[in-house]
Amino acid sequence: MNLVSTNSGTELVELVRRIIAGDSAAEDAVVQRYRQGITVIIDQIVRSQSATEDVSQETFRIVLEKIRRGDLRQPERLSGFVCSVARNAAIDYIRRARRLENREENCDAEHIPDPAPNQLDEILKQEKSRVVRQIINELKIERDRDLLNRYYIAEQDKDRICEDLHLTRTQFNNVIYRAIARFKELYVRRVGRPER
Amino acid sequence: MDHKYIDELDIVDRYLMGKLPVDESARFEEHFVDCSDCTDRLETTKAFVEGLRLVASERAPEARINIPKGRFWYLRSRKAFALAAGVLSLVVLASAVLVFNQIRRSRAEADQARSVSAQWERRYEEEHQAASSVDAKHQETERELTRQLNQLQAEIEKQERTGIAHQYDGSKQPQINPLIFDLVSARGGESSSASTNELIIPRSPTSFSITVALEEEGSYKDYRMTILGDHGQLIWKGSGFKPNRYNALSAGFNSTLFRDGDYLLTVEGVAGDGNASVLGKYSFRVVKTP
Repeated sequence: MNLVSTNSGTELVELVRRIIAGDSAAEDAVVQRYRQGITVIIDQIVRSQSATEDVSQETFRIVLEKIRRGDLRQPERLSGFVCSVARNAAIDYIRRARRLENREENCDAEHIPDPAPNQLDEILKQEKSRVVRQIINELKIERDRDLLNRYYIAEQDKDRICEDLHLTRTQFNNVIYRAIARFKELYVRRVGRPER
Repeated sequence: MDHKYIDELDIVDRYLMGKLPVDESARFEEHFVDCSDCTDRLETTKAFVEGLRLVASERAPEARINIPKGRFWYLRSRKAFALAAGVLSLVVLASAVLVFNQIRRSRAEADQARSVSAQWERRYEEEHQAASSVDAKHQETERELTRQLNQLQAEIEKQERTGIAHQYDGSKQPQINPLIFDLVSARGGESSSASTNELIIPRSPTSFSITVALEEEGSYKDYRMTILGDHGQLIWKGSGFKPNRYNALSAGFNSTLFRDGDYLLTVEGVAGDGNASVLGKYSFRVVKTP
């Protein structure tokens, strides 16, 4: 599986070269290019919006410094390098958070709660739940509501749900696809893009 | 990693759920970190799942709040819940004890009922056997009685046949020299003591006949005869006699009726109006031989 296309690889090599050359625009381009994806990766680990932002900034700091110093041996592998730095930064954050908060060693790092959700977070939460409630109310078939709860909340196996609800995988995917598409439509209409 | 592969294997959902293996998760991250479509899908799906969880978490307390006040209002606090759980446990325990006792009592009653039933069955069986025995005896007695009756009937028939045969034999045996005495009437002026008729009969019981000839035929309906002893006492009297073809009247006697002595036989004719007329008197003497 080739994760980086030839064209993308050429672009990345060029970006790296420009950053090494001291081009700040190239650094902005890297940040813009990876910011959204980096946020997803970090948020999967730290589960905190404020922490995600902090770790994201730390990730880009590390990435740009390494590129400037010429530590990136394979510029066409820039995406993998950025992901690796992001994961390490997130994990490091968790370790530091544990030490700082004097948490038990066995504490699950992925479940460290957001210590101080800001007002925007609360608004976004309210909007998400409102939109989801609307979507659920719009579902005419009880089976579809059951499907969403079992798949995303109870995290049951997809094949088992299909068997229980007498659905094919295509029918299952259609329910999921329509629900998320409708969510995106409503959520973007209210909030903008569905980012945190 | 291409999008077809991602769609077919539900990579997005599995990644958000933390269900992807580490290496595959790393490869997917290396893909979507530079893929706006996948990132967009990830963000949307992530937001949707978070919204679902929020709704689910909001509904859970609603469900708790919606517990109707009344019997279960005290279940809200932990202490009250613990108290309620304790009380419930005691109730369950007490119920279990009651049920256990009830089951034990029911079993005992069932055993007793089975025992009584068995006794009744035994008694029924005994009575049935006794009844069968009595019935058998009754049948045997009946058979015995029938047998005895048949035997008696057979004996009776045999005796009857024997008696009939004896009678038949007796009647069949001709009486040799039967005693028939033809009396001659006594005429007027003759002494009654001078009997002209002498009947000599054996001393053992013997049948004999007396015959008197009628001197004239009259238009009498029938005749009657009377025998008087020598002292005038009535010895015998008979009526309804009819004369035979020889215009004679006959009467049979047994020798035991008479003793040695003189007797007078009077013959009367009975007319249609009932009036009787003496037709003749016959004196006779009985002499019994040893």
